[in-house]
Amino acid sequence: MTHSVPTEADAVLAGFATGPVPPPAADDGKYTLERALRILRDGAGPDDRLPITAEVRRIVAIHEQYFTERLGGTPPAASYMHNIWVEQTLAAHLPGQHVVYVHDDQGVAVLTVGLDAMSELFRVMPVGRKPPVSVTYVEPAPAADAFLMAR
Amino acid sequence: MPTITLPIRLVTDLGAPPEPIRRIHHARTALWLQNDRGDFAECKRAVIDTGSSYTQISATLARSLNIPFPAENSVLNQTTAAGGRAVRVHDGELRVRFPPLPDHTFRLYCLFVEELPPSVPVLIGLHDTLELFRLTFDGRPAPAAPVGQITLETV
Repeated sequence: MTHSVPTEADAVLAGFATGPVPPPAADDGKYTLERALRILRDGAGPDDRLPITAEVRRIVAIHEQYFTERLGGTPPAASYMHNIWVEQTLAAHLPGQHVVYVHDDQGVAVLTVGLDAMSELFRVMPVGRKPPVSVTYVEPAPAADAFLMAR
Repeated sequence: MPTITLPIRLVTDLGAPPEPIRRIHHARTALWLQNDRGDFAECKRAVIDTGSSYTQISATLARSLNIPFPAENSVLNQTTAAGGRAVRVHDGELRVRFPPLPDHTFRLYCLFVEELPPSVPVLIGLHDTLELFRLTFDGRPAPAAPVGQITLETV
C-alpha cells in the first residue's frame, strides 16, 4: 500500500521532529576513541561488527521480496540491498543515536556514538581515508516513519 | 560530462497489525562533506529537496562534523508547506562530493540553521545546485534502483 506523504523537511519544519521520540539506545561504553582508532588502523574484526538479528533478516527479506516483485522477478542489485542491510542493522542496535561507522560486505562496525564523540574522532583521526567513514542519525524505524505520516 | 546517478530510496514501515504496510519514497543520497581538516565524512542522510531554495544543514550537526561556517548570523523567514517561521542562520558553503564521483568537489551555498535538529537530513536545495547540475527524476525501475533514480548531469 503506497501513500503520498510530506517530505522530511516538511515534517521537521512543521515541528514533528521536536515532538516525542523514543529515547536513544544505551551506549554501553564500548565505543571508545581508542577502539575507533584501532579499527581505522587495523580494520574491523568479527567482534567489532554489530550482530545481525533475526528481525533485521526478516525486514530485509520483506524489502527484497517487494523489490523483486517490482522488478518483474529480477532481484535488486546487491549494492542497493547493502544499504538496507546497513540501515536496518544500525536501527536494531542504536536507534535514535548519531553514529560514525565503517561498513563492508562483512557488516557494520560502529566507531563512535553521540555528537561529542563524533566531533572528537574527526579532530584526531587520520585524514584521507577512501572511502571516508560514514555518519548518520539512526532513525528509530517505526517512529521515524510515523512522524512522516502524522498528518 | 560527469554524470551522477542516485537510486531513489524506499522506506518500508511494517506497522503493527492491523496497520497497513506503508512504503515511503526518499530522494535521498549519501554526500561526502568536507571538514576543517580538508578531510571528508560520508553523510548518509542528504535529501535532494526541490521544495527548498537553499541547501541547509543543522548548525549543531555541522559543528559535530567539524565543518567550518561563519559566526555571523541573521534571521531568515522561511515559508514551508506547514506555514512560516523565523530561523537563525549562518550563511556559508558546503564543499561536497557525491560517492559516484569521488574526485570532484562541488561548492554549495548553504544555510547553517540553528533551529534544525541534528537528526534532520542535509537538504540539498535549488540555489547553486541548478547552476551545477541538470536534475532528472526517473521512476522506471532497474536492479540498482528498484524505485527509480535521480540523475545529476554537470552543466
